[in-house]
Amino acid sequence: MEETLAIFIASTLRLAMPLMLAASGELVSERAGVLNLSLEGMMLTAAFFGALGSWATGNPYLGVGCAVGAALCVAAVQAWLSVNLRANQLVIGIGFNILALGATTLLYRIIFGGLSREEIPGLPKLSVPGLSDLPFRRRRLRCRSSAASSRIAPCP
Amino acid sequence: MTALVLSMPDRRRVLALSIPFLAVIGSMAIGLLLIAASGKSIPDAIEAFLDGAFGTAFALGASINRAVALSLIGLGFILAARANLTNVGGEGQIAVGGIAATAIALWPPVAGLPLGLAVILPLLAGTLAGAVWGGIAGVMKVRFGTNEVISTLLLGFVALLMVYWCVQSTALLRQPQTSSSTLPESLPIPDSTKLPGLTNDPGSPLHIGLILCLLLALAIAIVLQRSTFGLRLRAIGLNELAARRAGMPGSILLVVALGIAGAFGGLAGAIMLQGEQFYLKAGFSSGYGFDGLVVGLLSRGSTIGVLAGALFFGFLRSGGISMEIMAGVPSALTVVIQGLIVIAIAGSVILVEKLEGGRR
Repeated sequence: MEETLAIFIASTLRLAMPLMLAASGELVSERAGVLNLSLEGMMLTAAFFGALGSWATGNPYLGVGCAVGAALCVAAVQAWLSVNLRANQLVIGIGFNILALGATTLLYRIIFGGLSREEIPGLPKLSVPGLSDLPFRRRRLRCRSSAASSRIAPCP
Repeated sequence: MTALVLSMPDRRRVLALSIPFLAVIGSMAIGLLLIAASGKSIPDAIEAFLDGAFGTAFALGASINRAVALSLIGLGFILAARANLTNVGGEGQIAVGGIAATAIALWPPVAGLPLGLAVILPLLAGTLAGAVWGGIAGVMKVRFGTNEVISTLLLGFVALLMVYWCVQSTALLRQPQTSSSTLPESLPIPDSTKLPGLTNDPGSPLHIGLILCLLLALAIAIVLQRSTFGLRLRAIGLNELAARRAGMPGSILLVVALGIAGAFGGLAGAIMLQGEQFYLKAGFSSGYGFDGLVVGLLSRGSTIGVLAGALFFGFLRSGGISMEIMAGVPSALTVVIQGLIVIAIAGSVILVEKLEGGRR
């Protein structure tokens, strides 16, 4: 029971992490009055380039760097279109979501082929001082600092 | 206008009209470059695309059937957009429409009804279900101030999972499980409830949905431009407070607008089901709702624009599938081109407006 609870809490935290990160980003753009509908597309792009960077360099932190860089590029183009060219933010957001879905699937097929079982290096597990020492009997409350799974999975 | 030479404003107008086409051509050129980059033969790919989009009677019919579903979503979208409402829930409205149409079509007494009622009742059921689904978002907006972008989008997810539930549970619409390999799908609907074909050619899947869609497009154009209701929608959309002060029933108008948008989505779902798919399965709406939304957005409120955009996206979808099967081009590439087109058209709007602005 305790163990289940520990797993439950740890996985809740792990799964909430990407939501929290993405939502904080959305909060910033909402404050500035920009609707960023392509959050999904940005996450998809970042996930792909994060995995690619991590796989190519063997270093998960460089992978995170690639992910942030790729998403920044997408965001810059999107900002130019919706702020400088005053394109409809809703359309641009949907357009980028479609584009990201297509582009990541295409690149995956080109780089990794049909179905790959390539292992990519993930981020190390993080033990939060104090939190990890909570008295669960067998398993310590540990939480992965990355929500990305350590295998590259094909996009649907 | 007497001279053959176009006057300055006309030339600007032609330019403004040509910009979306240039955006499309540019995106397609990028697509061709990508095909070349992935090592596939461009002529093969183009041939496969044209073949799949309108090469045969079957391909043409399938493309037009796709366009029918997309236009219905787009038409509902522009009606709601007139009242400044954004209906993002097309996907969910298709889903509930499909569920309702399947349920009614599979209800034994319906199949034997005369006078085409066997076809009409499921269509009506789908339409009604879609209207309710859109109406819920409308009621939430006027009663609780919920943003309809959020509520229609989330109701869409609910509806998609409802389809899943319906086809997973034998108590609902799943076909009787005779063996362990019975797929989670509904029974096929009876022949009498299927939409009649438009041509006598059995090789063409084209059905009367096309006629229905064109009639509804005409109706929407008349309602939006010539009716009191259309004017009221516009008034509500431009300034809700002023419209209410002028004595218009604001809340009712908003609910009805979203309800009609939903009804179009539901009808699209019923038509997809009764026209082509014939049985309900999870994910049968496969992105039509979102493509239809894009069609509606890009048409900038014009009925003709919706029909043209839907036809184009219909061809693009069919051609893309054929490119994958016949030329080995990944279907993801069509998705990339589609995304580029959406972005390019939306991004070039400022140019169009500048050119049109110079006319005034």
